[in-house]
Amino acid sequence: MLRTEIDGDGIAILILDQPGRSVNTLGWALVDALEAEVERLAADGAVSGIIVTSGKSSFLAGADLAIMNGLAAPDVTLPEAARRIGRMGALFRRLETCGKPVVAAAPGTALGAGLELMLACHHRLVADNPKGLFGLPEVTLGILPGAGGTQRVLRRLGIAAALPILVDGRPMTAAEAQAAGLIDVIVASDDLLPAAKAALREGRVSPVAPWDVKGFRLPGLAPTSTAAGDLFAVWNARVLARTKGEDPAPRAILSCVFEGARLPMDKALKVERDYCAALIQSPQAQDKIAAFFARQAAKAGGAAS
Amino acid sequence: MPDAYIFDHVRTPRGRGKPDGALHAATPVHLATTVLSALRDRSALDTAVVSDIVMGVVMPIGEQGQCLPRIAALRAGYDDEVAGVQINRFCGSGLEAVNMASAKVMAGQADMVIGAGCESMSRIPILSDGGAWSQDPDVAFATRFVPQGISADLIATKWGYDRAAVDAFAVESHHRAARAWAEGRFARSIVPVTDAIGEVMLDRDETVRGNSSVDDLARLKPAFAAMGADPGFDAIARLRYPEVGEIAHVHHAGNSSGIVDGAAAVLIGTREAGDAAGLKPRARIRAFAEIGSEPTIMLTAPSFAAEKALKRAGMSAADIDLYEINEAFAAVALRFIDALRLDPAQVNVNGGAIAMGHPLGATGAMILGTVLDELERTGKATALATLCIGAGMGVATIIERV
Repeated sequence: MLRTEIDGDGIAILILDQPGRSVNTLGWALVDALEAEVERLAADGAVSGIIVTSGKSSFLAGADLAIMNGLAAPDVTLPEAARRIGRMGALFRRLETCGKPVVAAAPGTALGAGLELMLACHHRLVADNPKGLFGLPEVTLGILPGAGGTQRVLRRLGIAAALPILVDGRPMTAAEAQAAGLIDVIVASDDLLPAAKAALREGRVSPVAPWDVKGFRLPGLAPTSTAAGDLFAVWNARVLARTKGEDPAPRAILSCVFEGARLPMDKALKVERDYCAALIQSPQAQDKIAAFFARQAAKAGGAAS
Repeated sequence: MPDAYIFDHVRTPRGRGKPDGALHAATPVHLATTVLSALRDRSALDTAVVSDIVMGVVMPIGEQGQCLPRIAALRAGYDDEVAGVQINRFCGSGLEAVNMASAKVMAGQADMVIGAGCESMSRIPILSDGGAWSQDPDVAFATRFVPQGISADLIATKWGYDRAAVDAFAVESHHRAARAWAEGRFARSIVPVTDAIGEVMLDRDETVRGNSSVDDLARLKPAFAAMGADPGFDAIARLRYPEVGEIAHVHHAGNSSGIVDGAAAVLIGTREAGDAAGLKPRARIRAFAEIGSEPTIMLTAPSFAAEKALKRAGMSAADIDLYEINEAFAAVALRFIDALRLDPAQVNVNGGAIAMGHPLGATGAMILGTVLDELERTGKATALATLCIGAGMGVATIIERV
C-alpha cells in the first residue's frame, strides 16, 4: 500500500498505492505504514527530501469507513476517539516537522484527510487532471477535518479566507484550490514528479512550515482585532441562522478557527482533534457518514456492473 | 445593619460621543476627575473618610482602563488612602457601582464610599473590548446571541409597539429634557467640564432637541433591519420566539439612546459618617437588586429587577412616586411601563437617554441623581431607578428621601 523509491539525489518518493483499489483511502494500516516510513526516512541521513505521491490517478480520498465507524463504536470512549484521531494528526505533524523538506505531488483528487496530508507538506504540486477535486468536505458529513486541516488552512490563508473553505466544505478544482492558496503549483501530469524533484533539488522548499518559524503571525486579520471579532460574530450568526442550531459541525469548525487562531500549533491541533472526536461520536454524524459510504458503495457497484 | 445614605450627587453634562462632540477632547481621567473633585469641593469633604470609589466603566481599556477610579482619585488629589475599583455590568454599571458602594456601607465595612461611573464613548468606542459573547462560537450559539437592537425590535414586535409609538416616546423624551433644562431642574447636579485654561467645554447636555417631532423621526430608516436579514439575527431571535413571526424593525438612531461622553459620582455613607463630616443626608438607599433573564430578548429585565427590589423593600410598584428607566431603546421603556402598569407621567419625568444620551458606565449613577433631584423639587418621597443590561440582566435601586 506504500512503497518508497529513493533516487540518486537522495530524494525519497513515497507512493501511496493500495492494492486492488482504484482510489487510496486512509485506513489504520496505511497510518501504521506511514508512521514507520516517515520515521525511517527522517532518520536516514542519505535522504535529502521527501515527495509524497500516489500510484493512482487521484491522491488520497480521505479516511475510510472503518476509521469513521470505529471511532464511534460503543466501546470507544470520547477520550479514546480523540486519541485515535490524534494519531493521524500526529503523523501529519511529524511529517511536517521531520526536518526534511516534503513535497506533495498529487496526480488528482485530494479530499478530507488527503488534502490534510498535502497541507502538512511544505510544498504542494497538483497535476492538471481535469477530474481533480480538492477540499475539506468533512462538514457535509457532520464532522470536521481533525488531522490539522482547520489549523493549516487557517495559518496559510488567515481567518477571513479560511472560514468559507472550512465551513462550506465545497470541493474545488485544482485551479480554484490554487487561487485560494491551498496548493502552490499546477503542472502537466507527466511533469508532476520531475517538477517536485526539481523544487527539492533547487532548494526551493523550506523544511520548516511558516507557523513553526519564530514570530509567525497569521496572514490577514489579527485574531484579537476588532475586525476579526466582528467577522466571527457575523459567521456565528450566519451559520446559526442557517442551521437553526441543529448542526454542530460548522459550529465546531468556527470554534476551531476562533480558538486555534489564538494558540500555538500543537495546542491548536489538540483543540481541533477534541472537537472532531465529539462530532464523530454524535448520532447525526454517524447517520451522515453511513449514508455517504452507502452512496459510494452504490456508485462503485453501479460502475462494476 | 447600618443604613446607607446619599449625601450628594454630581454629574457632567453629556457631550455627543463623536469627534465633533464637545467633550471629545476631555480624557476619561479628566471626566472622572471632574466629578470626584466636584463631589469633594461642594461638601468640603476630607477625602480621608472615603474608603473606596466603585466606578462603572464598560470599556475599561486603553486610557480608560487600568482601574480608572484609583487613577482619577490620585489625579483629583484625593487622600492616598482612598482606594478605587472599576466594575463592569455593561449598561447597569453606574447603578451597580452605587449599589456596591451602598453594600459596603450597609455591611459595616466602610463609612463612606463613592459610587460612580465614567465613559468616554467618543474616545473608547462601544464594543472595543471584544468579548466572548458574540465572537466565540461556543458562546454565541449556545446563548442565541443577537445584538441589542434586534432585541429591542423583538420587544416592540412581541408587545406591539409600532413605529408611531416608539417615535412618540422618543419625541416626549426630548421635550421633557428640554423643559427640564429650561427650568433648571438639573442645576443641582451638573458640573461643567472645563479645559486646561479653565474655560467651559460643556455645561449642558449636548444632544437634546426641544423641537424634535414625530414627523422628523419618521424620516429615519430602521437601524437594525439589515442585520436582521443578513447575517440573519431575526432568524436567531425567532429560534427562541417563533410566535412573533416577522420582526418589525422600528428602532433607529432617533428612538434609541444616544452615544455620549460623561461621568457621575454619588457620595454614600452612614448617617454617623455624614454627621461627622457635617453632611445632611438627602436620601436613604431602601433596597436594590440585580437579576438575569433570557439573553436573546435581553432587555426586559428592568421590570424583573424592579419587582425583586420592591419585594426586598416590602413595597409595591404603587409605593414608588417616580421611576427612572434607562431609555436604551424606546421599546424597553414602554415595556417597563406596561409590565409594572405605571403612569407614563411618573416615569422619566425629565427625559432620558434618548434625548440626553447613555454614557454606558455612568448612566446608572446619573439617573439615580436625576430622580433624587426631582423628588426634592416636587416634594415626593420614593423613587426607583433601573436599567436594562446586556446578556439579559437588569439592576434596580430604590431610594427614599429623609
